[in-house]
Amino acid sequence: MWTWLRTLLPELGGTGNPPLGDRGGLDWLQVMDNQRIAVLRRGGLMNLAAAPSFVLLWGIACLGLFYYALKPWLLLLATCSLLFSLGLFRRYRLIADTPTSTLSSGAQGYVELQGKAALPDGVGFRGLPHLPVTVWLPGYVEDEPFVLDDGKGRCLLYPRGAEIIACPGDSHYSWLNAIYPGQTLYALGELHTLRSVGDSDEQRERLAALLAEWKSNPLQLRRCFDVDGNGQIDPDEWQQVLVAAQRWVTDDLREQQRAPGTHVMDGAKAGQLFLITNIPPEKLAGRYRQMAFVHLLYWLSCLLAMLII
Amino acid sequence: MNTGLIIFLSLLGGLVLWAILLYNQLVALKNNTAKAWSNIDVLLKQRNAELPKLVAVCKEHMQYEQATLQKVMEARNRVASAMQSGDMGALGAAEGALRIGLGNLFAVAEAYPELKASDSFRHLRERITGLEDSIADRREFYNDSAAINNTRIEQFPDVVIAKAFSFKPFRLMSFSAEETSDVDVAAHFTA
Repeated sequence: MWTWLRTLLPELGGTGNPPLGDRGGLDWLQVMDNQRIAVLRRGGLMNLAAAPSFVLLWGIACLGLFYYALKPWLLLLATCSLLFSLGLFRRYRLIADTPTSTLSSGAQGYVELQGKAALPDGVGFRGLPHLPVTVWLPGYVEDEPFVLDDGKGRCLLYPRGAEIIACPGDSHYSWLNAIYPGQTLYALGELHTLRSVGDSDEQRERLAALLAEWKSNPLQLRRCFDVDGNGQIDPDEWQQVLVAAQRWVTDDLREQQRAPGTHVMDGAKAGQLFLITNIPPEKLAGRYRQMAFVHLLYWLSCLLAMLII
Repeated sequence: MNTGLIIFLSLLGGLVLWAILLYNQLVALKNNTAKAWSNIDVLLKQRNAELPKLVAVCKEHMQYEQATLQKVMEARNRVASAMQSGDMGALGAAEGALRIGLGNLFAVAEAYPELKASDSFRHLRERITGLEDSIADRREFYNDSAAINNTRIEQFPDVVIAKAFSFKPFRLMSFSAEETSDVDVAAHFTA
């Protein structure tokens, strides 16, 4: 059991002592500690700046620097507050200004999607033993793709490189930040649909395979293409066979390209945000807007404080 | 360095960074709306390529419905020319006419069992109906993108940046009046 868990938890591999308790259960404190770091890492600096506790500490730090009249440090904090404010405002606008797309339309480009989280086909369990099934568990299962199902279609989300903000589920452990199957998910990123390309190599291969299949049934071939009835396929008739096979393959590939493709969201273009969260977008955007305003106030207050000192 | 100067430079820097942020957001909105339009454009082209095939299949079986078929082809040509000219108003009207024409065509086709049984007709009908649904969804997405863009470039303070760098509003793609007008059901019964 420990060997298996060790492969799943590389972060814990070097500790020497297994995190599993003597009674065979998980070391919950270790799991929580490990997860906390991962949540900060995947959420990024801006989400840390949007956390109420961080904002409170930041304000206390500003007051302390004002009290001790440390001007250069106040300037540093003011500059950071300005950058936090702009970054959070940008996030707020991105969420507010990106229209929701449906997967049935498959609109390509930078879109937002809303739907239910699900495990990919063929995956029965993901996460840690003794915990509910999760589709994404920070610190443990972070880069494996999972599905967003909006009721009209399914999209495969590749979370590597995404900013992921997960809050504990209502019906699960209140301390575990994870995304569970069936939870409402919000994703913001570049959507594209993968289809069969049908390039010239594939076309050639299919043509060769089709001709081989037809040749394996000479009776049928003669019945269809032996126009002069001499019992064999002449060079002219063979040309007709080639044309027919070519048409057959082209039609087949065209049909294949028309078939519904696989929707994938695996990043965003430079300067745009690739965000996955199980927090409702209105709530998240509201939080970003409020915290952007608070950091703006900190910036102005720090500058005012510098003037007073 | 003088504290007053530092504060002035900090305020100026903040203002410049904010203006850059607004400008970049407006550029992103413009590009996203253009992309939303190209999403529709692709489907319109695909649908327009399928329509002549549908009409050709119908012609084989519907000898007495030439007017219906002609209306569909005329509307298709109007859509194609509106797409080429980029005239959103004309496109909306032509799309409305085409939808009505197609609706009539499919309704009339019910009277031709041979046509209904034809694999080609069934396949083309499914394909065109599927494309129509996707076009409707994508049009909604485009209109949302355009509305957000148009609102942003009219709001203060974004309007200052938008005016300075000539950001233009996008025209919404709307249904034609005949498609959105109330259907007079009674008239169908009294006629």
